[in-house]
Amino acid sequence: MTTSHNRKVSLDEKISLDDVLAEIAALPAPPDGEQLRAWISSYPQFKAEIVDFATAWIEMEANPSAYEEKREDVDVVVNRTMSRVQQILDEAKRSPSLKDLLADIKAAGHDLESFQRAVGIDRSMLTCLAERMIRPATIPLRLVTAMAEALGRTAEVVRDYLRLPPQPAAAFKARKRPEPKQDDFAVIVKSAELPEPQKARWLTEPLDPSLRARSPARKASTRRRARCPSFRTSCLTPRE
Amino acid sequence: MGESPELEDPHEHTPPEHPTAGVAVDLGAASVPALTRGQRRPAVEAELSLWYRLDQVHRLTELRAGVEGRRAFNLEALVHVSREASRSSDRETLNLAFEALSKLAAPLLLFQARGLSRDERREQVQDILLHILEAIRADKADFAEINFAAFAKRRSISLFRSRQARLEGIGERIEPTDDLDPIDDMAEPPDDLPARLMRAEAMALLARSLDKLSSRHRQAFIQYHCLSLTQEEIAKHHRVTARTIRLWLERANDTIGLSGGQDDD
Repeated sequence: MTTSHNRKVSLDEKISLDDVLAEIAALPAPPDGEQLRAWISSYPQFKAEIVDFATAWIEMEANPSAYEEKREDVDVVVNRTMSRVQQILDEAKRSPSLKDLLADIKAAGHDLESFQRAVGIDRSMLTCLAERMIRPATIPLRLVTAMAEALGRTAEVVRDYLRLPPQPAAAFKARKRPEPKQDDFAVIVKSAELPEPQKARWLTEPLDPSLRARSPARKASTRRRARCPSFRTSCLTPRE
Repeated sequence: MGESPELEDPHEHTPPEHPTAGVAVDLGAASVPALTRGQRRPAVEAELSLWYRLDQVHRLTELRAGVEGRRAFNLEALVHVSREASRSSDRETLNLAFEALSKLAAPLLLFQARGLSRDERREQVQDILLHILEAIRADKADFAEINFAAFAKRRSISLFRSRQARLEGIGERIEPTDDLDPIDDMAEPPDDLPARLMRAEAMALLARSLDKLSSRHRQAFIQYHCLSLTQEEIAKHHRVTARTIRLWLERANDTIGLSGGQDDD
């Protein structure tokens, strides 16, 4: 056993399982029977975990390590890791919740065009998403995951955003502000300026079960409603 | 090149090259913040002591040299630099220090990832590096500053266990209990346990037959032959009867090509 291990025992410090396993991992090779018994007698409360850990270590060592160091592997790993690190650090700086999609797109390092390309949508679809004019229960899972990936957000944050009430940007002349009505994702796709195969793909995507489960049930009155005012005025109007 | 102690010989390490060769340093007192628990290796302390004498411009220059592979660092020293940068919200230093750390640590981590395809290796290494970043940001990276290789090894083993558990979950059968293990009804176990093998021999046989052994037989084999546990201890650990353990070991022996039942410990 290591000197630091003995020190910890003698000082009777409160040791976590993580500390114990990390100290065992500092051994040059998996523990033998004698070493294992010494660790178990020092930390009987972690007996099962210590045995599992030592067993897994031996099992892992029994696997062949046919790895030949390749510069390419290191470069790929470092590039991917640093890209993820930037996302994590950006995420920490940003508001935990997503309230303004267009601002978040910029904060994620995209412009509107690059975001559209990353997600596979056109400007009219993006506008509808930004104004939350799409009924959440009709949104496919792929759209949620693609948005989350492009924004460096979790899928749940994106879902929370899509569940917010609609917020159309269109001007209106009536005295009373009209109640905005959302449309099905399929309706928005059919009106989009996307290539037909891309539209067809969106229309066959499975819906996001999380959005379906938590979206309010469609009321009977919606059958009588008029098409949402923003559908023509804003969703289909390209906006900078 | 200064690097984290290799697990094969943790006491063997070469002092790093002077990290500030040819660079102007402030010769005033340069104290390195102590760790809450444990101590850094002397070589790491020495490297950090020199680091703290550098001004910010030279620190960034050194880190860029590390990223480009022109400067050697102890991995533990880079963990410390990343940690301090994270504490002071110095993103530029954090980016450079963590990139240098990733670049220097990746070969070791790739080597530690055993029994995986190339893509899986890369994923595992990325996972470990991000785990280290998480520890750095949560200010819980003391152990990584003490022994980076052991910190990474512990994570590699945990990932290996998770992967095995997932694979076992796919072929899950009826769970054994204290009172009943369905395998008990299938065959008559031997009266005696197989003779305990020498550890090196057991490891060699295991490596040869790894894919042929079921998870439980493999674990019992390791615990009996490599970790010298008794049949009662192994039985208690797996929550089955000692009779079942004898059967598992017998089957493991059959699979591996060993024969005969002899005395227990």
